[in-house]
Amino acid sequence: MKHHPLKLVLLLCLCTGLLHAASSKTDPLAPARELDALLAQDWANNKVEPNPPATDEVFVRRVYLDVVGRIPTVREAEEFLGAQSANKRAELIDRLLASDGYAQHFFNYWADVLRLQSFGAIGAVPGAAYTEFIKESLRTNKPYDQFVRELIASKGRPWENPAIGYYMRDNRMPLDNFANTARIFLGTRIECAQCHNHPFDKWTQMQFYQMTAFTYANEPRAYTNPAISGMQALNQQMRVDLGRRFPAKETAASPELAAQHAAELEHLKFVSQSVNDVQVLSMGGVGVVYDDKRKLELPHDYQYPDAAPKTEVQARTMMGGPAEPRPGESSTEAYARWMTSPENPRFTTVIANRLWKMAFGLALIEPLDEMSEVNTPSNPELMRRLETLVRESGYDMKACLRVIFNTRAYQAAATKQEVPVGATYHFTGPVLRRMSAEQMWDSFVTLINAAPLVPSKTVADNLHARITKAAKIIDAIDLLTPEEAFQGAKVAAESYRAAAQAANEARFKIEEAKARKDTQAVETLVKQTSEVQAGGRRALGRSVFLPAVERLAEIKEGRPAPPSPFSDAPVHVTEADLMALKDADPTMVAQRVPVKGYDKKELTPEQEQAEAAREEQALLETADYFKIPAANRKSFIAICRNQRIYWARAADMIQPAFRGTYLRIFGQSDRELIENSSRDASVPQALTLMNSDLLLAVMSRDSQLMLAINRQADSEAKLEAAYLALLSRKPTERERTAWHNAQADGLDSMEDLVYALVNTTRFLFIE
Amino acid sequence: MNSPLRRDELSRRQFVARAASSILGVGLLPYLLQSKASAAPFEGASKLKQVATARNVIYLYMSGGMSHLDTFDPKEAGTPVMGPVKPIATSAAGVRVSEYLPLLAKQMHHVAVIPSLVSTQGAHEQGNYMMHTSYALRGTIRHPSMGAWLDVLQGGGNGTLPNHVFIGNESRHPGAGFFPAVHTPLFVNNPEGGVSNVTHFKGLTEERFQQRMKLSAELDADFLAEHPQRNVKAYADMYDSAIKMMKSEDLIAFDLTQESDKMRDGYGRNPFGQGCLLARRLVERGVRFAEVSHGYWDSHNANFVRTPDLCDALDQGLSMLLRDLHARGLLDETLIVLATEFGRTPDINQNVGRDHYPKAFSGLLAGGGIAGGQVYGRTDKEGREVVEGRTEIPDFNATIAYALGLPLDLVTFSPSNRPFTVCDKGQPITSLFG
Repeated sequence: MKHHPLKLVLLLCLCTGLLHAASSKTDPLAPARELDALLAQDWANNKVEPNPPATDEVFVRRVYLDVVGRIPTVREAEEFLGAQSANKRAELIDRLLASDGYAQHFFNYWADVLRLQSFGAIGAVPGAAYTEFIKESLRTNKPYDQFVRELIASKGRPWENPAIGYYMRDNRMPLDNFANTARIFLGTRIECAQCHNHPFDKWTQMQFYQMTAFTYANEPRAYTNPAISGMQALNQQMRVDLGRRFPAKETAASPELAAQHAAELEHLKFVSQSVNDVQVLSMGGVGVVYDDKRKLELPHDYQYPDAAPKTEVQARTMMGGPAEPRPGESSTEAYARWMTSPENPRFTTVIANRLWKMAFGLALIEPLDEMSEVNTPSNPELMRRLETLVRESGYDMKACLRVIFNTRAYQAAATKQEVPVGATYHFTGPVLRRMSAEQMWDSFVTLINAAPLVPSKTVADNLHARITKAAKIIDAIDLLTPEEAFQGAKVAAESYRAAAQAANEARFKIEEAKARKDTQAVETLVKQTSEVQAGGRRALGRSVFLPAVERLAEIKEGRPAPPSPFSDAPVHVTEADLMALKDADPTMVAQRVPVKGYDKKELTPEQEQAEAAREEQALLETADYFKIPAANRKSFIAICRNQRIYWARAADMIQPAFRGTYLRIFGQSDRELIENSSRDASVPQALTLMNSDLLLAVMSRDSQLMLAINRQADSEAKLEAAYLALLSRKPTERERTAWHNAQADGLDSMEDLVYALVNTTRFLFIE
Repeated sequence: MNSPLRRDELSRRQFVARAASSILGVGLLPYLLQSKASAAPFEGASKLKQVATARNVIYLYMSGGMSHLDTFDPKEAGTPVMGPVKPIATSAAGVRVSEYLPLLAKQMHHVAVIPSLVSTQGAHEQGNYMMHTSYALRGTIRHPSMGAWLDVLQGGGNGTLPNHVFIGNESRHPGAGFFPAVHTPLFVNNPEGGVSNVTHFKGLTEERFQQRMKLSAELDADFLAEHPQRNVKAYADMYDSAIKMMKSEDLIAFDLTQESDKMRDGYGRNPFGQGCLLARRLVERGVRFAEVSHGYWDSHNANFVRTPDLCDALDQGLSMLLRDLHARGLLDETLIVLATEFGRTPDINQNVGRDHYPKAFSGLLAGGGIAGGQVYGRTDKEGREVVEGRTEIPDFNATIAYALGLPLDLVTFSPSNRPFTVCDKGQPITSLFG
């Protein structure tokens, strides 16, 4: 490949541009047939038989799970199975790819790959912004290369550039961040080389450092602004003045001076604490700063002869061409461009394998993130074709998936035998897979929600509020003069002092109560003390954050700023004052003060009404379908709305779900490591499927499943509805007989059948 | 020299391991391949090994950073760093504890105090992780906790109950690390709440349940027969285990109401006390590693209000645990560990609090072959610096592993082919054993 680079770029632009524009209209079947032809060739060469075509019943369940991450409802299954169109499979694929379910399902996948946490080590605000960023990128089908470039080149504050979550996630661990980058986007395991040359691959420790050097200047760091740094300077000045006013010798000599000095020193400590908290609390806006003065050095124990320990490392790529910054480009931006270039030797291969694996359950290179000179594709021609497909689509994920899902190979029956680790698989059909944790959860949610699923806003609104609050606070603080911020902090310092005093007094009261053996009183006092302790911080809401945000609100409305509420007037704070301060987080005031341009646009009353009417219409239509009597409609609608709140989809919940929740029991990743989710069987899973409230919700009479069953009058139709809901097909003769026999033995309710079916292995697997 | 194993050799190893695991149906073997030609980083791992002196561990974790001066490393009364707290004498000559621990003072003849712990980690998450794993927290690997190591290397235990149980609300725990999820502890948030989902729905009779499961098996039979795959089979097995667990007589271990009121009161009617009681009931039935978390000890404010409150529960729970295990003859085979992520500053801050202090802090070991009534190591007069018996976290953990007879120099590979040992390069403190 000795093309002139410029020529190649031009050529690629031309191709991708043309194809990109056309991709949504072209017939996906033509490229799908090309893939099929390559596979057929491979089968012939290796003398393997292709799997028979999948039935429509198997296909509909599989494609719902693979594209929108859940089983179809009874209505959806019926609709597809009853459709007469010759192109109905292709049409369903298109409809599903265009639905919000696509973003939900692929969000779960990327959340696992990127170790997404919407709070925790990443920081609450960056975590919230990053979560929404990933989801939105999928919703808009952002080209994959652009998505990755945005992550790698990200810098700024979370609300300006939510992609910084990529760096915040590995806050203070830039070396680990690079190891993760290499694995996720270049399919290369290089973390061993962090401490020594890679023992099994060609990578050296030097290369590890050279690659890390590209992004080392991107540092997660607290933002500051003139108000905050000015306030800190005033605080420092106060410290210097104090030292000057009480020279060591004279102060030590005079008990009076010494006492006064001690008192002022104590005051200074509270002021410093208050100042520090203003800074810490304002920097919900921690962000990523590009600082090219930050230089990476080799470790102190670097042991190879090519360089001395602690020498500065120059950035250099480990594969492919160089990543030279263009004029005006930072090293990180050049690196991001290099990483995502169609010419990068591994970038395209990795994503092509990811997409293929999403459909077939195995990649052409396994593990797909452990590429090396010996771990090469099982079918090189197919690999090249897939890479071309990805490049020519302009890294359009949906366009590529559309082709893959339309192959005959994908639409074949699943392979029944296990593919042994290390064996070459010829993709005669998808492999049998257990549903992912999220697919399981979302399938249960589908069985429970009577009305069609809609994205749940509860958590999203909460995340959004977190981001808005942080943006308001930092911008509001920016409007203060350093003097004002310092005055505010000094006022709050009195509350810190009062809290400390209360803690001291509480100790004696508690000792007294203990002596009286009054355990009740001890408990109350301990609790009260911890309440009061937070009072110092809480006071910052009133004395700093509230006036700042109010000023911001006025200015954004175009009104003149109100007169400064800050003053040097002495304040006295009592314990009762502390108890009266309610906000645990003093920056909460920002949420209560509306500021133009920050808060989400509220709907007008008319819009709201129209929205509600639309929703009600959809719910009434559902009621019609389930033959809900007129008298029960109102309560039915209320139930549907409740179900939407309590049984939201996995992607609409906090990331990751808490330990011990159903999602985690089913194997959702803890998001500590890349692709740490599990599809293994476990005892808690069986216990959950036999005995938990989740199953009770599935079997409640208001669930989609039970409504679909009870909508039918005769018992055979009920049986068919249960099978359609759970397995997207009608029962076989054998299954009908088994159920009839069980009925004869005393299992007389449909709940018995549902319980038995949910607890089959086949329910959990994707055929 | 930096390539101890050639690539093809590794592949062969992996192949053999995976083949073995597919036959045995366990995911355990691949991680136990020992490399004698181990790489340089392991030259420091301890070669010491002994016949196990402990069979079980009850691991008490003081979450948030327990103040060493206010508990097990008190200094002279009136020293400014002590604030209002005074030391008291204990049942062990020369061993003192703070006045916040009067009941425990009577049991110190069972206990070895290590006031000379040091950590390199001053933040909660990192400190907690290191205490549990001996390794620094990284973004590319999870290291196993000691309970997981024990389960993988020795197994044993009850058979129906999980071998590794965590009791408490603390959300941080490394779990099984890079070992398969089956070695993750069973998490019990509330010691009085028992295990979730181990009983039938209200109104579902055993007979009907059996019928349902019989129907389920019938409806599943052809699917199972047509798909001879490990994960499919694993689900069938998992149901067997789950039903076995539901019927297990040992589940009664989780039912604290089986204990007399006197016993329950003795441990203290609080989550930590009842957690210790549950840990004892589990160990009695063969569970090998039970962790109970207690806290939050992060007393940046009002240290002398919060710390004594936490000490009350610790004092009652741990002293009762020692007495109870001793009376039942279980203390000899049960190692009790008390650990925390770091100590707290000797200097009392303006909020009458203490901040994080990894430079010197205290841990305890008792039972399981440890000679009680001793102190290993020493800090200076103000508890600022370790002046004798400096003990790094891997050394502390190596002592636990040594008591359990775990091989400290065994090199184990993570699924990503990275080599690790049980306690990094920690050296056990062998002089603690009686």
